[in-house]
Amino acid sequence: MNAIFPFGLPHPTAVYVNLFLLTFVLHQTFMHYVLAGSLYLTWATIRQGCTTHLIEQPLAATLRDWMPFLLSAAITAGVAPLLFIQIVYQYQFYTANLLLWWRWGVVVPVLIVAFYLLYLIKSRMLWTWPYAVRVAVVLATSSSFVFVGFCWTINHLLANSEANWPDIYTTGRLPFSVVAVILRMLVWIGGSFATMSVIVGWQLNYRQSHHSDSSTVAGPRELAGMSICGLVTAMLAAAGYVALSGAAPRSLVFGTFSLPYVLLAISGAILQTIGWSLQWRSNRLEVFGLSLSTIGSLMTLFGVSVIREAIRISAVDFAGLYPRHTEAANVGGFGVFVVVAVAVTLVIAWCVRLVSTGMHDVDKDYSIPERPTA
Amino acid sequence: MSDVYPINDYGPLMPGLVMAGVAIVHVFLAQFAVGGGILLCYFQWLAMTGREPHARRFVEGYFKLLVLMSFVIGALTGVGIWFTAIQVSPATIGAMVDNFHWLWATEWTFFCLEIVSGYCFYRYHSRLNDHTAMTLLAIYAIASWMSLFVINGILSWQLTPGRWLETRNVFDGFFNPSFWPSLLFRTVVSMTLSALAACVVTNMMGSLDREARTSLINRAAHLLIPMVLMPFLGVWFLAVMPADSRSWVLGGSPAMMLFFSISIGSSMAIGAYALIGMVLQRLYINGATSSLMLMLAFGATAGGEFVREGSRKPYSIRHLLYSNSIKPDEVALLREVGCLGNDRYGLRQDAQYPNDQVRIGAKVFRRQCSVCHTVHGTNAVAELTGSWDENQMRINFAKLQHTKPFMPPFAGTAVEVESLVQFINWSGSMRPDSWPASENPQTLAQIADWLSEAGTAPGDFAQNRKRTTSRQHE
Repeated sequence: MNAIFPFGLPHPTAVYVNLFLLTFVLHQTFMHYVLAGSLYLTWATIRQGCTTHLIEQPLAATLRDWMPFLLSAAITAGVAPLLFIQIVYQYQFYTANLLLWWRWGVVVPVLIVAFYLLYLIKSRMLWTWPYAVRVAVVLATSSSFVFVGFCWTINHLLANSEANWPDIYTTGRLPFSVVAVILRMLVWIGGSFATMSVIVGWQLNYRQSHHSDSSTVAGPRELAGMSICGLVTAMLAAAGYVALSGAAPRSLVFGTFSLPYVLLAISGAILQTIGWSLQWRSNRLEVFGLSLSTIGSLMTLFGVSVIREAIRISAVDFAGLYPRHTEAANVGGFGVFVVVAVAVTLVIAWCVRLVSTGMHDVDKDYSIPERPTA
Repeated sequence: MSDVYPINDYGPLMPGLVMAGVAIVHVFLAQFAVGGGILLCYFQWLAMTGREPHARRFVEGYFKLLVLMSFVIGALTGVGIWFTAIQVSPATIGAMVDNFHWLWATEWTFFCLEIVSGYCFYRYHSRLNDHTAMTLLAIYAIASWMSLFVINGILSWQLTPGRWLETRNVFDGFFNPSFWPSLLFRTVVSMTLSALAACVVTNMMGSLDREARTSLINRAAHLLIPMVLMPFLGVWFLAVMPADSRSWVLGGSPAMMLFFSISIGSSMAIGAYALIGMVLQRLYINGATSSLMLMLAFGATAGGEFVREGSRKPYSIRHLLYSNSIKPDEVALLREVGCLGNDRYGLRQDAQYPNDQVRIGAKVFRRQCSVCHTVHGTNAVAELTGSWDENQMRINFAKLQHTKPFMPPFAGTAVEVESLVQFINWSGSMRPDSWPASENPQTLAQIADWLSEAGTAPGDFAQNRKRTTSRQHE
């Protein structure tokens, strides 16, 4: 690994790893919104005591309104990295799934429950219920998402611990340091607040530009605070995790292979901080500040994802996987995928345009229309 | 040799049943979503042309159900199938992903389009003009059907890989012999499910009077008319199935025949009621009856999926992989070196086994039998072999593919056959603390002869017929 990622890798491996990373970043974007959004709503619900004031603020209201769709988007977007990981690290990924067994199987029912709870949170009905019930619902929701994140973290660590697999199978015990797991979780949870702030920032900016009533505008300082605190937490946790890692992953992370991506992630964090600082000062959500934060967020997400892969690559016999990747690249269908992906992207854009141009202001008329006469 | 994965013990449940449970729920909901798209386009058109006064209200109510059921449980059980398939047979799902990942990625793009167009409609339908609403619904319907189109090619390849076996061309595998009958059959099933769900939804619309509900139900019943094609599509599917698979369904395997009959019986009951009662006589169907019909359709789906999965035996991918994840071309080698050479996983609760021979037997069971059998539970070997004496067990295991042609050949040495026999006998004898090891060289030599006689090729289901023919010639 003496070249910058992905240049030192064989062509098929580079293609599959990059597709995995790009789709993983897309999945993370939506997933962060839901994870951080549910944690924020939990805090807002608990903090506000017996009133529903905070939960009706634009930030909380927007999160409540959009989280079901964003969870759907996260699940849909998550299918693609789930597919490509089966090409890149099939043996490791499958073995980790099998070793986790029922502990892995509960992820799906937990997500189903959390999904319905999001719809409940979106409804007005929940907010008429007693305080304790409201808190229980939001707490159950956010705990579910944290639990799913925890399961993925354990799955990832397990896939990288091939030497321990036979022992884990027979004893059922997972040999991971609690500190390492917590630090990894903090990287994702902290980072999720930064990503969520950017997306909600755009949503509220749109709302700000379409509503003259200033009461509908959320405080950009709250978003800026969450984003910067999240970034600081994530970076400190990441530094701690890398410090705990062995010499091999550290040398790959800070070597030629991924050092540019460490710099990319840090530059992205700085850019996000500048973007939010500008908005903090003006106390307004502005296109320029949000654009800086968005670019920074994407840089950080991609940079961190590459660093994550560097650590994984150092833990497995990655060169031993190249023949599999080459063999997979020989099957047909890539052309069909590219053509359909382009066409579908265009149709998705058309759908959004259709909605923005095809709306009228009045609600639908439910009166019975006259049947046309011949 | 193929990778050996850790295998989990599901107690009294066989892993295949767990897979079937998740798959049936997902298939049911996914087909409901596909048919739902077609149904909603039809009702939107009825609304736009003024042919059905309450169609617009129906579209909104129905789509809400679609989002709450299909977009949540349907989508997540889709992910769940992947996780379950990995648990049950990582080699099978791995082979499918390896060979069709670009087409699977193509399906993912349609899935994305389905979600975006669906949510655009769901979120903004009350403010959309009719033309936009219709366009979004049409995009949703096309995307969801295309998703079915792609996944159908991959799934049907497992049973009938067709020319792919020679050419290894992805499109030969995709457009395999059972692709079209399976696709058309599933499309009709999707329309049926959506129409039956429409009857349930209509009955839940309390603001409509009986006349309005009857009108909507009669409109929805139009999507049940294609059910008349089901017998022809079913016969077409049976005709393109491999002869041995067809023979399991048509009597060779009582369980498969039973499920096949349940599926046909349920479908016929729904079809007859739908066509005579709802289409011809334009009867009203109340909430209880429509729910019952939907449950019957669930039963038919479950039976159909069980048959589709079971009829692949002894393969999970025909001619490529046996159901126990051993490749046909590996059997000869495993007969020489044994099936445990590259199995690095010990036994859980190792101390409970009385000797090393039983331990080896437990590992052989885990590797070769546990995907379809339990020791004491569903399809239990202790019960299936309960009336056999030891020699019967030895010859039947050594000649497994001839004992039952839907079983794969035993892929191991004579020592491993004997260990398996001892493990099953020990398990069937309430697992005593001590168990004598069976180490008679003559027994092992006899097993080796039987293994040699059995050969390494899969069983020939038609050999009985061939024997009869040869006797007639004599």
